[in-house]
Amino acid sequence: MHAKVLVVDDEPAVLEGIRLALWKAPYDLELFERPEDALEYLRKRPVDIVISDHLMPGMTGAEFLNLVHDRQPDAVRIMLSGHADTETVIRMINEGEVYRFLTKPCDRTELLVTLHLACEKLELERVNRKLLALVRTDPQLLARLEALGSQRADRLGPHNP
Amino acid sequence: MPERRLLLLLLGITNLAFLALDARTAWPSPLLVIAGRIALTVVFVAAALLAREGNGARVVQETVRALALGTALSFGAIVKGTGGTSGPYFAFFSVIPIVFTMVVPDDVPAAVIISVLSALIGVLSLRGGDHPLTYSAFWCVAYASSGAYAVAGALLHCRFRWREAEAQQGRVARERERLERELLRQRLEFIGSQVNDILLLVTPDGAILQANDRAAEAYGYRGEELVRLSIRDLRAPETLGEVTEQIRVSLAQKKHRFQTIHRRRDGSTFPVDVSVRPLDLGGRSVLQSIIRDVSEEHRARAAAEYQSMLLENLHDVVVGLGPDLNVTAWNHAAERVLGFKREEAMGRPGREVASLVSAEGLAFEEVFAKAASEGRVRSDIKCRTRNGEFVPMESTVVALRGSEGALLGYVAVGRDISVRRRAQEALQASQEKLRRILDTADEGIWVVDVQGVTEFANGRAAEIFGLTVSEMLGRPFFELVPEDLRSIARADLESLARGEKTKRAFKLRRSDGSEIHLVHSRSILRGPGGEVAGSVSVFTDVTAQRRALEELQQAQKLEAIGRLAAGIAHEINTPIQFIGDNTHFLADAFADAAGLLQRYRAVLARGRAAEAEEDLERAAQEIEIDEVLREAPRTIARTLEGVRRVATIVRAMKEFAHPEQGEMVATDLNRAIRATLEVARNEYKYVADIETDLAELPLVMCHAGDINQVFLNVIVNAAHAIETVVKKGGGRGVLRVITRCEANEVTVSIADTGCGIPEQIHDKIFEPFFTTKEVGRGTGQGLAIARSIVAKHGGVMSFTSNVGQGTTFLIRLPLAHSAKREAA
Repeated sequence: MHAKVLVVDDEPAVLEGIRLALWKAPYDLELFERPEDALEYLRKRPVDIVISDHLMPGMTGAEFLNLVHDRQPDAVRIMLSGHADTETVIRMINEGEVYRFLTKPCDRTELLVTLHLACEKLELERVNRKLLALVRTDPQLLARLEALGSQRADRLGPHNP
Repeated sequence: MPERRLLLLLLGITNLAFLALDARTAWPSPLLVIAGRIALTVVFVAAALLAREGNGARVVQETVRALALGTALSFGAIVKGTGGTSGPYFAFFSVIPIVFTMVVPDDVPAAVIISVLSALIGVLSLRGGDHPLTYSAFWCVAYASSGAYAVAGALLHCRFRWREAEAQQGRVARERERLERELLRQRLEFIGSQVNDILLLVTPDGAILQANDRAAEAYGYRGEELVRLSIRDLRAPETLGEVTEQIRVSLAQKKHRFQTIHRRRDGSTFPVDVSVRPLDLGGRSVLQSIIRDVSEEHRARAAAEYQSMLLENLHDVVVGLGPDLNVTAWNHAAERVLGFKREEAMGRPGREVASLVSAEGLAFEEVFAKAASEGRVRSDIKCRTRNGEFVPMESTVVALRGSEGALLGYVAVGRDISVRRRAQEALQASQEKLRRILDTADEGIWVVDVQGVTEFANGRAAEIFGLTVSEMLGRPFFELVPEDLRSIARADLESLARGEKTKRAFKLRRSDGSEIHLVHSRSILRGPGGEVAGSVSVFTDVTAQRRALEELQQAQKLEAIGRLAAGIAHEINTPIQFIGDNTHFLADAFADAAGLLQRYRAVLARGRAAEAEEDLERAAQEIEIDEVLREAPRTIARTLEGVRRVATIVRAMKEFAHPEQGEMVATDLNRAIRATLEVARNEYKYVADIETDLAELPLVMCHAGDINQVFLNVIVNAAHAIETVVKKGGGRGVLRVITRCEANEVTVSIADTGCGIPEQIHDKIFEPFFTTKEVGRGTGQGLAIARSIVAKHGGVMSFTSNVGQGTTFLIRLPLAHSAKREAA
């Protein structure tokens, strides 16, 4: 199953460009020109990754991503902007609202790599969550795992002084 | 008078008859009787002769006296003759009548008394009985008749006298009147000719009876005209009311003197002093008026008062001295400077109140002695005041001499020069101070007279023009200044002549090659009387200010562009983003398609197309060739559109930034506005829609870069104003730009639907550093600079605003300005 990517940009040509950039990439794309429409979509469907422009009529990307965070906290949020002042960028990263900040023009490779990493992150988080759930259901498991870990360390120890 | 003479003759004859009788009786002493009778007769005859001379009254008187004497003598003789005892009677009757006639002046009572006495004597004689009756009767008759004669004579005489007196009185009165008139006439003529006063004879009702020559001369009438006038015709109208009362008073008093105003024939008036005396002219009351024209006196008095006032108000000390050097005059200044009051000083020896020593060391008396010999001495003196100080004075002592050269006294005039000296020093100090102030001024100050010749220049003025003050003084302005200022200054002369003040900025190239910007303001200099005395030029070096302004303007431009840069980057980056994506897509698509084409070629080359068909179809499916073919044209179109957008914005930037060439260039303002809108797009595109209504405009000569800055500043402000509204939840706004070409100007109106400008800051928005934006968003320079740029182009920038509805800025740029510059 392909990861679901939602893209918001007030410039249709940019949306089309992204669509073409991800032509063969394994992603399901949802493109929106208006952040309001995207939010409406997000109310009903879960998405994995959200890419947003920053300067848009009606709402800035920061505001939009903030709302996305409220609705789908697990979705990876990426900002793709041609212009944002440094303060905004710093604040957004520090507050954990965005996973990556991409500036226009953004190379296709950069975009693909970022999306791949985002997918990996999602995958890791998903596995992590699964494991945590497993650990919680079987309290013995954790102790065994820890013991296993220390035996390995002992075994490896002499070879790595 | 014949009757009287007859009577007297009769008396004489009667006496002769008695003489004859007495002589006949010759008793008791015929000689005595005879002598008496002869005397009587002589008297009568003399009386008769005298009567003929007309001296009647006296004759009658003498007659009666003689008769009385004769009677007394006769009576005495009778008494003696009778030898009776009547001795005392004799004496008594002899003396009494004589005394009577001598004492009592008039004849009638005397005659009566004598007659009575005579009759009494006759009676007494009869009673005596000494004589026979007849004889006695004779005497009685004789004496009675004698008395009767005397009575008759006296009565007659009285009648004569009355008649004569009447006649005489009439004659005398007529004669007297004639004489008086003659006398008066002569007197008047005499006075009239001798006296300078006006002489008028006026009836109590005011009619002029007589006037002297002086009167005719004084009033401007001819003599015969004057006597037909009333005194009222000679009075000034305002004094007419007094006339009746003055005449009344003059008649009541013996002499009346008053002052009034008289009028000449030509209507002019003059003050007079009038003395009136009533005269009795043959029973008629006449007023004699002596009138003196006192206008000269008035003038003289006024002149005297004026002179004394002059003397009093003179700032100089004036002291008059008699020949004995005692003070005779002491003016107010003398009181003030020397400290003695006039009352104290008058009459005192001069050296006590005005002791002085001249600069040459002459003492008081020596100074005056010198003045007496030389007539006038001028010297600097020191004069001692009341409290013992010495006042330095500049003095002139003049000896006054009468027409015969006799020394009348001296006048000493002194001027307190301590004040003048102090004033001079103060004046010099203030001039020096003023000069220093002018020299420290940062402005060049250059004063020229009406001929344009330099009267004053401060050091700064000399420095500006690379001259020295001394070479400027006395030389014409036009010779000293460079050619370009000369023409400017000439052009200013006209407005200066109209009394206006001129102010012009110009550039001056100095001898060392450097350029300075000066503002030359020039105004008319007026003399104390308000007359034009020249002009004052003030040169202010504004090079530094200009540079600062230019720098500020440049800085603001950079600031604006800097602020735009981020926006512009965004504007460019967005197309670049999709251009890149599209091109990548096209590149991949092209590679896939090329690979597919290769395989097709290979298949075709082997000639086994049929068996490869499935394989090829799969390959085509793999690269989604149908979709790529569908997608590619659109992608190319979008890519080209993106490239066009980038190109547009880059071109707009170039146009906007318009490198400043220092000269004005013909500019299409519409194009400039479009470029500016393009450059500023990012400022407004999220909040407002643009509406433009750009009319066809002629090219306008301007500094394009500066004008763009004006548009940009206004558009950015408009965008921010709309953004303020949008942020508060309002809908998208509209930014409307309209250009129009009017008769001689181009107007650009930039309207927004923003928040508007509150009324209370309307007068502040063009001030530098005034801003309503948050810190970091605006420096408050935008509109200030915009306005200064528009003003530099000879245009006007204004605005209208309604809070909550929006603001419209209107920029008007003159075409004439540009045309003129073009022609130049």
